Order: sequence, then C-alpha cells, then structure tokens
Amino acid sequence: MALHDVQSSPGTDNRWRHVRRLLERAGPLGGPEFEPDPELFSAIRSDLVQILVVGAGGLGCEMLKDLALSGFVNLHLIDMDTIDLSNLNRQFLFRPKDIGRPKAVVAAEFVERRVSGCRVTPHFGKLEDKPLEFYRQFMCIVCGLDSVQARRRLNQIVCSLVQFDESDQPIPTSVIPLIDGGTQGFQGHCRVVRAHATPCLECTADLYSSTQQGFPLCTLAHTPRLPEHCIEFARIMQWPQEWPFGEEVPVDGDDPHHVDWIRTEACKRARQFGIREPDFRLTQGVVKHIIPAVASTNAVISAQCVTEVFKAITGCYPLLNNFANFSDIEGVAVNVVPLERNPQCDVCGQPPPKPLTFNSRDSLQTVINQLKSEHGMTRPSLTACVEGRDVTLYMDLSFLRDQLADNLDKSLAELGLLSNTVLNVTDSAQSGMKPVTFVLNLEDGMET
Amino acid sequence: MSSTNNNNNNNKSNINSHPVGRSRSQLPTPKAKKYDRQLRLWGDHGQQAIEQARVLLIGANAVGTETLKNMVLPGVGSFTIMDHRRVTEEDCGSNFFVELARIGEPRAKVCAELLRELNEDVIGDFLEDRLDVLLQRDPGFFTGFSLVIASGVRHSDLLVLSDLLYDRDVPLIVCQQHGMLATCQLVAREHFVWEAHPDNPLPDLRLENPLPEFVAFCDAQDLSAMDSQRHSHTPWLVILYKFLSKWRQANAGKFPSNYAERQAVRQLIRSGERGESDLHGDEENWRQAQSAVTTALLPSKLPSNVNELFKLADQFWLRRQQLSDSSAPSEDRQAAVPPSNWLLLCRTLAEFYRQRGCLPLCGTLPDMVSDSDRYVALLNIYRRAADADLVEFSRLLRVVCLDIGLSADSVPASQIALFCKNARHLRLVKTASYRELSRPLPQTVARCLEETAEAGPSPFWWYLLFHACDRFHTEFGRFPGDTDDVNFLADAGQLKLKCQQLAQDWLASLATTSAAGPTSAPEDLLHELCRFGRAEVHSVAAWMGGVLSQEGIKLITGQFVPETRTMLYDAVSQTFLPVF
Repeated sequence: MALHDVQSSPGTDNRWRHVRRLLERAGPLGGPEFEPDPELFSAIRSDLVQILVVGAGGLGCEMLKDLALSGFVNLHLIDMDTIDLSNLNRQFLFRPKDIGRPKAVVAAEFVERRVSGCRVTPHFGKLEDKPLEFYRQFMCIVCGLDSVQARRRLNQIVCSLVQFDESDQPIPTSVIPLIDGGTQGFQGHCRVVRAHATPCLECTADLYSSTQQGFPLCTLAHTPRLPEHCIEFARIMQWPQEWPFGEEVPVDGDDPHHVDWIRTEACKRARQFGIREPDFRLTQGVVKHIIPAVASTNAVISAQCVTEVFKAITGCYPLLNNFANFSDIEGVAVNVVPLERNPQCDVCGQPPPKPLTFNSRDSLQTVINQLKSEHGMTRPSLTACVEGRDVTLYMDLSFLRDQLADNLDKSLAELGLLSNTVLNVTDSAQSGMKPVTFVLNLEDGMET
Repeated sequence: MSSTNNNNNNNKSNINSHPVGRSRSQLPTPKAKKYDRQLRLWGDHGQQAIEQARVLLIGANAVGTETLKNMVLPGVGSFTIMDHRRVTEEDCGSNFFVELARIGEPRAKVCAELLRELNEDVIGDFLEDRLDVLLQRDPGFFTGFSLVIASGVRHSDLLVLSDLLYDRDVPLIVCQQHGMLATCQLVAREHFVWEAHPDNPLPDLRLENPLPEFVAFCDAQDLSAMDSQRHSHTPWLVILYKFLSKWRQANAGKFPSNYAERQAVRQLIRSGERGESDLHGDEENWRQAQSAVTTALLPSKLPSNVNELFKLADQFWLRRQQLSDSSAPSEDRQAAVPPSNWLLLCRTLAEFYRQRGCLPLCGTLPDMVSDSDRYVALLNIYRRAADADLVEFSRLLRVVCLDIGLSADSVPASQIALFCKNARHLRLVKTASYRELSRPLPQTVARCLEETAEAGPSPFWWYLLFHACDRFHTEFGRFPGDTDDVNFLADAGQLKLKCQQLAQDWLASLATTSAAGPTSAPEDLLHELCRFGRAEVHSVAAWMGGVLSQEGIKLITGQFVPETRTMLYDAVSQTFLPVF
C-alpha cells in the first residue's frame, strides 16, 4: 500500500490528512456508491482529474483557493478581465501592483506559489474562444460569473457536450457536472447541474432575468422621478447627441471623466425636475450596472460550490439537490430547493439536439437548404441564442420574410454563430410542431 | 475639471432638502474606489466603523484565518492573532495563510504576516501566548477589542474567556469544526441594531392619520377632470388615498383592519379605473394602487422590536429613579453607568410615540408610475414631515438629556438622524452568556432528545457530540479518530460514553429524566465524527469563515441583524440550522 509515500513527495503525508480522512475512511453518511480507498487521493491528483474554474473574480479567486486546498492539483482558470482597483476588497489573490494584469494569470501564479504542488493553467480570454473539445477534458466545471449571458453560454457548452446512445439516452460519462455560484450583496446561490438529470441553467432562466432590467425610455424622457432616471437619460439620450469626448466615443463606465460628465448632466436635469441630485457613486453604479459585492458572501458561495465539486468528483457524499439559496442580511438563512427540469427547455429539453456540420463561411441559406433536404423541413424558421440573446435568424412568414431576407446570404460567422450554438428550428408548414433543436458544429473552429 | 458649471440655476433645487451647487467634479478617492462594491452596502459610515474596529482572533486554524481574511479585505482597523502553536504540515493542507517553507514557525506570526498582505490599510499583530495563561496573567488584554473570535478553543478556556468578555460587553464569536460540520455561536450581552436594512420594508406613509399637507395635495387632485395623460400618471398613493377616504366615509371613518376590508378598498379602486371603452385601459398606476392595498393599508401598530426597546428604556429609568430615591450609597454598578446613546434615543422615541402615537417618519417613498411634478411634490411632503419629526425628536432628546444631568448635545446629530430614519427597524440583540448557552436547559435537552429520537443526524445531536469530543480531548489529549490507526472507530466507544455522560449532566436537574429520549447518540454520527478525526476540511472552514466575518461586520457596524442562535453547518446536506 503506497499510503505513506513520504520520501517521494514531501509534505503530502500529513499535509493532506484532512481531506484523506474523507476519502480513506468509510462513513455511514457517505454517498450510496462510495467506497473508501487509499488510492482515491492519488487519483484525484492524477492527470485524469482536471477541473475548470470559470471566472477569476470574487468567486473565482475563492474557488481556486478552495480547490487547491481540497487537494486538487490540475486546475484551469478562464477569465477575460484585467485587475481593477475596485476588485481588491474581495479578490484576495490580487495586490495593487497587479492592477491592469489579466486576472486569470495573476490568480494562477498566486495559488501555485502558495499551495505548492498545485498546477493552475490560466486562460485569458472568452469562453467562446475555446473549441468545444477544450471543455471535454474536464471532470467538473465550476463557475463564478456575474453575467447572465456568460452563464447561459457556459450552460449551452456543457449541455452540448452530452452524448446520447442509440435510444437517445444521455451517456452518463459524457455529462460534466456544472457547479454554478452567484452572489449579489449579501445574497447568493449555489447550484448543481448534471445535464439531463437535473435542470440546466436554461430550464430556470427566469431565476436570473429580473435583476438586470432598465427603465422604460418614456419615463427617462418625460417623467423622471429618481436620480437614476436622470443618469440614464444623460447616458442614453444626451451622450450620443453631444459626444462629449469625441465623435462616436462610447461611454466608458471606468473612466471617471465620462462618469462625471454624466453626473453633471444628470444633476442639471435633476434640478430641473426638483429631483435629488445623484452623486458620483450612484452615477457610476447605474452606468456600469454595478452589483454590490463583499468578501464574505463570495467566500460562502464559493466554498459551498467547491464542497459540491469535491463530492461530484470523489462521490464521498451525495450531491446537493440541486439549488441552495443564501442570505445573511437578517440572521443567516440557507434554503435548499430542488428545482425542476423544464421539459420544453431549449437547451436540455428532449429530444437531444442533432448536430449540423458546416463551415463558418457557409451561408444561412445553405443551412436552410440542408434542413429541407435532409431533415424533412418545408418552411424552416430559425432562432438561436447569440451572445446570450435570443435572435431570430430567419422566419418563413410572409410579413417577416423581407425583413430577414438579408440574413440568408450572410455567412454563419457574420451572423455571430459559433460552434456549439443551439439552433431552434420550427417548420411553419407544420402548425403546432414543437421546435427541433440542432447544435451547430463548425469545422473551421472558432476563427470567426 | 470645471468646477463652476451651472451654479446659477440652483434656486429650483431648494425644493429638495439636499445640498445644492455640488455639481463640481467629485471624482472618488483611491480608497473609495477600492471599497466601492462594499460601500454600496454599508455606506461610508459603516466603513468608518469597520476601520475603527479592533479584532482579536484566538486560534489561527482554517476557520479562524478564513474569517479574518474576510474582515481584513474590507478594511478592518486592526487585528491581532493569538495562537501558541507552530505551523505544521497539516496546516499547509487546510490553511491558506501558511506555507510549507514555514513549517515550525509560530503559526500566529506566519498567519498575521500573510493576512496583512491582503490589505495595506490594515494593521496586524500577533501573540504566541497560550490562552489559559494569558487569561490568568492579563485579563485586561482581552477587553480592549471590539470583537473577539475564538476558533477551535476548548470549552474550559471559553468559559473563562467569555465570562470576562460578557461582563465587559465585548462581543464574542465561537466556532468549532469537525470535518464536514461546524458550529457557531454569537455571544453578546447587548448589541444595538441601528440599521437593519430589511429586504422589503413596508412603505412608511401614515395613511391611517394622513399628513395634513398630503391631504391637501390629494384633495386638490380631481381625478374625474383629468385628461387621460394626467389620469394615467397620477401616483398610486393619491389614488389609494382617495378611495380609502371614500371607503372610510362609508364605514364611519374607520381604517380597514382586515383582509376583507382592504379588498373592499381594492374593489373601489378597480371601479374607478378607466376601462378599455375609454381607449386608455392600460393604466399601470391604477394597478399599482390596487396591489399597494396589501402593504400600504396595514393598520399601524408599534413593531414588537421597538416595543422591546421602550420596555428596556423604562426599566433603566425606573432603576435609576429607585436608586436616586433611596439615596443609599450606590452599590449597584448600573446606577453609575450613564445611559448609552441608544438608550437615550430609545427613551426619547418612547416619549415621541407617547405624544404623537406614531414613530418618526423615514421620509422616503417607493418609486411609482407618476409624472415628475406630482411624484416630487409628494416626496417633498414626506421629506418635510420627516424633517419636522426629526426636529421634534431632537427637542425631546435634549429634554431627556438635561433631565438626567447630561449635556443637551450628548448624541451627535448624525446618530439622531440615523436613528429616526430607521425607527421602525431598530432592535436590541441579546444572547445569554456562553456559560449558559453551552449548557442548555434540561427541558430543552429533554425536548431535543425526544424530538430527535427517531431522526438520523440532527443539529442537536451533532452539537452534543461536539461537546463530547471536547471532553474526549480533555481526557485523552486528542480528538476521537485523530489517529493514524486504521481502526479509527476504536474511539467510538469512548466518545459514546462521553456523550451519554454529557447528556446526563445536561439533564441532571430534571426530575423526570425518563421522559427524555435516548441519551446515547446515533451510531452513524459517532462513526462519522471518528471518521473526521477533527479534520479541517478547507471548503467547510471557508464557508464558516464567510458567515462569521459577516456576523462580525454586523456587530462592528450596527447594521444588519446578527444570527443569535447556536447554529450548525452541515456541508453534507448543505444546511445551516439552529441546534435547539
């Protein structure tokens, strides 16, 4: 038994005793199929166990640390942002000297330095920069994002990795558990997605939608009542009329001069209507849609997510079923809710999406032709989720046909369609038909 | 940046009671930028309180350093770590604030250094003393902190520590971790919550006894004479008031007191809506008025949390009165203690309520569909009334202060304003001492034993077992299962024995012990605890560290409401439940 392999790897004998107790000792509360095994700990440190952390912000930093101290050594971290001063109140792997550097790179360096033996591969970029195959290598994906759109995209990726057997049943080994964490101020959630067994993020998309809403334009233009209305008026209506920082220069919410211009204009408007004048903080909050964030909530949610990753990979305890809500404004409350799947879900609803293989330079017309010739469609209409938004690509209805005809000649790349995009297709010739989902497979990868 | 723009047109903004002419540039300082995301939650004054706080951590284990991390990041004034242990290999597999290269060095020192790196604004210090020794040698040391966190400290030391702190009003947070489980307990004799930040506060509108200015405003609105634009932009508050008045006239002037009566008002409003025949059927403001019936027409009654405060203030003044009447040499230390600011304010609040029959207005309005002028006019009516309440409250406060020989300006104006604005949500949070909390009443124990006789893992059993583990440790110098022996379950028998003894002790004074359920813990739980062997599973520690830091921030800032119950986090089921 190679349990006490002290000489070969210093520090692993006693160092990981905490985690190993869970893996090497049987316990009555363990998962139904859990068998303790002294080799299990070496196994989770082998190349077979790769974990992807999506997002290197407040949650991502915590998750990375928690995973490293759970004994995992093959971590990947993907994030497209660079470090800003306002991150430092919670993103504890960053220091003032790191401002401007890519979050993924700095976080990876820090954790590798602090937790020796742990390897973190940073990916500075967007989710869609990676081919689908990139995601297939992971045994588990844990996500700490603040954007609904990016979450939906990741969900789509994870769901599209699922393979099906001849009888259209998902093959369990192709299902990568997705653990999703999110916070807003003192509230947060952790959820476990096992595609086709539990609801995917799309099944319950309405859970996320309410937080990111704007104000009606007519309120901004005609009946402002709040300082926020004046700010949005200055940003949406006045800015593109006056271009205060040069023609076509868009608002940069991180540029204090931009924010201050908006604040000044908003104050003028506020005075005109007798509304309280907004200060800089409020202005920037509205302009950037800032979600308040503290270290404590991020710590809680990330820790919960990583505990679930540990369970998902080792099987040492049953997984959370399947959503936990957290709030510590009044007392501390944790509620576990088993969310239910949506059988009509665009992403994971049955039947499984069929692959459509094309080249990114192919036109939409080519796709429609194939749908007609090979999938028995007569008048296919197509919608897709592009950059987190539902977009109608083509609709074979007389009054819309002209408007959307231009799309037919555009290439898939021009339409913003990437590999793994799910296309929802209905046939206008067959009324009442449920949409059929296809997943786009672009042979020339992501070079769009 | 131009700082002179548009100060000429300021007379209009005098409608607002807010500073005018501040349109000159006000770019944030680097510090405001760094803390931006949290300042939006607790404000500059909350931040100031955090920056003045001195936190002591006893026990630099995983839960302890994770807790401190989440307080150093938001900028706690200073921290001190007290720990007599040396960094071990095990620490490097559970604690992020140690390093392999520093094994053998004092743990307090290493953790303090690595935590200090997180925030250059924070002062960090450490002590290598043993807790029991320092408690004997220098008890005064402990009472100089604004908050003490004790992680993994043994029960016998906690008793001494918490008696000391409780007596001196220093809040204490206690936590213990075993593997996938952790308990925590706040110990605070008195903690005043200035700003509860309720999630969905009810609007503060005084519709039961409406403000005269508000009545005049509404009376001047003639709904039937309005064109459709004006009609569909009348604030729901005006609509609600008008139909409420109608209903009151028809009901001998009474205010709706139950669901059916509120629904009757709703029906009246519905009848007044201009229907589709008018081609303006889609009147959002009228729908808002109908749904507001459930929140804006609740009969005003004194919130129980505020009533509690009135009683406390009464008791304090009564005791004071008795002492001064008896003119005996004061032996009661309470008499010498002048009332704290919150007590002075509560006394004043009670007086305000006695005279007015209501609490000071908070002076805010929810947003609602409306044209600008009428919304702003309404808001200003409520603001002015709130300002007037504040003036009156301040006058009463001066009387209260002078009455007991304090200076009239004993309480800073900013504190008075904060108090009045949050009057409905104020509360005092209290817990018993750790000595009492950690020795539950026999009745409680009997009830818990009975309730959980059938069930598997229950928070109560875990809690009892945690204390049994402490006893095990006292006797054997290690925790059950904390051994390299493959036969880790060998400790289960002794743990079971300790558990039984403990349950008997807790039940001791109860005559009918037989009424209680079994006093021997479920085998599954004994087994599981031995499996853990006191493991500090990092993600579980990090979870608890997140929760405890926020509880600490609540105590430091007087904002949000602390959790006062003894709680158990079970990472297996992802639940956080009260033990009793």
